[in-house]
Amino acid sequence: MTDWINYDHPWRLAWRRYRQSPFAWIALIVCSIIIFAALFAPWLAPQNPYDLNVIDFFDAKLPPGSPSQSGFVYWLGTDGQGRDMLSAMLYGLRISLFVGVLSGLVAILIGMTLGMIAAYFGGWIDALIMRIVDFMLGFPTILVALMLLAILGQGVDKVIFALILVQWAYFARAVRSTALVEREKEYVEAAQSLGLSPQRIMFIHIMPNCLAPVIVLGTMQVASAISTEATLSFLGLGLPITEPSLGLLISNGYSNMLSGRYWISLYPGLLLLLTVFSINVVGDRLRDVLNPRLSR
Amino acid sequence: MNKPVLEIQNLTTRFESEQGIANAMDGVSLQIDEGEVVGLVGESGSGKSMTGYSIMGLVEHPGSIVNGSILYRGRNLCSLSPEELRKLRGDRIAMIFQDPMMSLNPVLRIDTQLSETLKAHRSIQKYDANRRALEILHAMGIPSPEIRLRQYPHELSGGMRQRIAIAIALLLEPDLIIADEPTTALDVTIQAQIIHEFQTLIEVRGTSVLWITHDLAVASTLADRLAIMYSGQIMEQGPAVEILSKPAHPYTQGLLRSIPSHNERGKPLAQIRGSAPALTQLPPGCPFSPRCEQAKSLCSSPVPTNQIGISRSTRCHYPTVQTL
Amino acid sequence: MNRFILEAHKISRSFSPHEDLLGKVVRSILIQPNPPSVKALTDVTITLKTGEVLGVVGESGCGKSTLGRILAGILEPSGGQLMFRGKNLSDMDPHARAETLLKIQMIFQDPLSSLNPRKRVLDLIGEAPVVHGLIKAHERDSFVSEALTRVGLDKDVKSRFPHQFSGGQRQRINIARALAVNPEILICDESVAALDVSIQAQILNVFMKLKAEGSLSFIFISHDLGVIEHLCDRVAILYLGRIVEIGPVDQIFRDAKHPYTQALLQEIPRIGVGKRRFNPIRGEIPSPLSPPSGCQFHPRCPHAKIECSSRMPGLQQVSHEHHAACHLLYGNSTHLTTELSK
Repeated sequence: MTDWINYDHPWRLAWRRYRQSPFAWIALIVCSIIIFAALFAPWLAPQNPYDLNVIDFFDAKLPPGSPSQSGFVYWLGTDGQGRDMLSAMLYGLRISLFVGVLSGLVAILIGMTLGMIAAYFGGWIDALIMRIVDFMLGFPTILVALMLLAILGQGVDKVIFALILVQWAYFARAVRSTALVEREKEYVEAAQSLGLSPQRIMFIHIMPNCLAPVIVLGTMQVASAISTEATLSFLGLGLPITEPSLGLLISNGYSNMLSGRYWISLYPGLLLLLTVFSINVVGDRLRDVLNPRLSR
Repeated sequence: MNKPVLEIQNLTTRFESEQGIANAMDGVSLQIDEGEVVGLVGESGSGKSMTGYSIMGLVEHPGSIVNGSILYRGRNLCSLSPEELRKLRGDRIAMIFQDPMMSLNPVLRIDTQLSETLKAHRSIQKYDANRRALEILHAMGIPSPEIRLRQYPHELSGGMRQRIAIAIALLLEPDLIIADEPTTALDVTIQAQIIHEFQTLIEVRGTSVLWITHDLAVASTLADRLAIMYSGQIMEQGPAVEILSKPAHPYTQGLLRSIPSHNERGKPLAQIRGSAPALTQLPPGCPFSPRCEQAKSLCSSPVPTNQIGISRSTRCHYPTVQTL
Repeated sequence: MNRFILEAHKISRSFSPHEDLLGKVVRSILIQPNPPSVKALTDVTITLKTGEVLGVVGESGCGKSTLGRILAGILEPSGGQLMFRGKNLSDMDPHARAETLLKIQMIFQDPLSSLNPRKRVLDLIGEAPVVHGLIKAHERDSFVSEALTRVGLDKDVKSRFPHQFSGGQRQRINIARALAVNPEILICDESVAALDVSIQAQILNVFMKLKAEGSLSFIFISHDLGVIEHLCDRVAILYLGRIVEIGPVDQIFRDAKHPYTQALLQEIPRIGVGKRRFNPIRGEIPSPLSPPSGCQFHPRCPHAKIECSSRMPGLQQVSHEHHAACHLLYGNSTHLTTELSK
């Protein structure tokens, strides 16, 4: 009907549409700041909270704004060991994000592969994989994570492993439903007719068209992983005390709440809240933008 | 001389979007007389469906009628209130769509749908409504109508559903039926049946019809007069026999020449080069000029509608009547 | 050298509804019969001569799309054999079979959904030849440029996405993609049905140009008899999964023998005849789940006799290469011509 429709790459179109919501824009900026802060924590933090030489025990539990011996200001106060809260939070954020994103990515990879195989081959393969998915999704996430960590013990790698195990099923299901629809389309038949191998068709042809729900789900799952890890650490089963995440910081400072030293728990808590919230807003907006019915 | 049932005068329906302004209909004038069948023929993007929607008042945001008038027996439909328009719709002017499920409610039985239509526009008892429903199904040649009445749309085939949709349209004996590609999605044999039944019914009742289609052949079997549409403008209109044997507009000529049965078997088909422009990027003047073999410099200025014979008009600066 | 490039012998295909494990278990517990299967194709025998265009015509439920997909190797037949240049496909080893199927390519009906929306034209056309080793990776650019020119597109469109093209242009891309693997047979499944009339003419001309180049044979599936008459050398008419008539186009269009073909020809709207009344055949196309007994067309046939409802007619030879499956053809053919053409 038309000679040239002057739209460009599908992703650029989606980006243009994303930008139209000011709220989502702000959320994206907040997310970027958080990620930036986490990545560059060693350079941004006034103090390395793990270096025992730098920490002054006599500076413990100082309120926000107090000056330190070495000249800089404890902007957000200090915790029970005399660590600068701001520094501890930045490093804690780093760990939290690392755990959340890595577990999310690996879960996506596993889930996408299994979901695609289930959709493409159908039959008993589909039935088998989907029954496992149903099984996994039947258990509450926290419960499974708790049980796993009780068996495996503490450690960053074990926490990541537990998070991967509870998350992959969501992605498998999301990819499978999209892939089932795409598989019926004629471009897949054309690829088969051209003699391309099933692996090629699954992962180079169908997969790019299944990314939309994965991206949306992925952002939400990262947020969920971060807060799950925080919960686990708060309960004492997550990361060890030598690599404190935000959850652990909140947990450590909890006993100080009643004595009025709110800053030891509150600020890590606020940061956690802000992180999870802004990631969720971004994911929400992406869902609207990538909805195929609204595009074109 | 028959009185006109519908007169569209210089109608412009405009859509505004971030890609620009698109005139789905641009200065369209069309007249349908009593008992007449007018075939509105055009390819995709020509604005033919929009003509039907404009008449029925179904044009929604971001589109609106910005100019012109639609006179139904002298009353301007564009200036009626929504309530008055609703009274006319279905009763005096009815529409049939390409997909019969646009006229049928999937969760209601057929007899309910027929009697609802009747009761909405007439004060009628249930018994009479059912009797009328049965009558019209008989007239449409639908086998075992009593059984059909108690069925749901999903139990019927595509052709049968379209017949029911036509029955609903004819139920209130409207003056005008707008049929928007009603047989396009149907098989050849079913299409033939439905056209046959439709022809019988409208002849008996003297209903006027605006038959919208992309298929010149179907239009030619039904229509008394033809209007050929392109990019929102009516390029040519007049008696069907004349237009098909002696078309005056280069677009009509090109269309007719590109049909396989008009070409020598086995030889390349005469084709119109290029493709239709986007409605937001129309060239100045005649929208067909970029593809027209006979375009000259005057063609980039707006083209008025010229009378070239009794009840024949064309929108071209250089109409040439070619005998095909 | 085999005259026939493709032969299909008694091809049948049934579809049964998809059932998962739980459904099967429940059904066997309740001792219910097997779910009914739909016979999409029954005993279809078709041959394609090298260099010819064979048309396949039918309405919904006739199985023409299923036949197209079986001939292209996308779908497996439930019964019968497929032979390419005299060699049976099921006798070949997987490698030879894959190579053979590459020589038979298909052009689908919907120009948009047959193109991957996330791929650029360069990948769409250039991927398969590289994967199969027909060209080297660094030759891809120039190869695709040539392919585009061959179908009448500008070679600068290589980096664009499918949604940036019109329907006719997309169909050209589809054709270029099929041609990129050097096929010997092109199966066109309603390839112009979704296009506007003026664009149809352009795409048909592309097909005619390819036919004139001489290296391709075509199977052209369509419901549009006007297009078939123009393009095809021979035509097969399908009804409910069986061939009811097959023969040279000029013979069939001039003098069809099967009542269904006659009805189809009579009922196509044609320009130039003017406003006219149809005299259509009665009845609907029966559901493939419950086909009529005997000759499947008999409930709608104006000339049906008693035996038509009890015995299935086989394909009778009407003349050289022209066959039709109708009981009324047994016996004196001149008498029948007058009777059937009433």
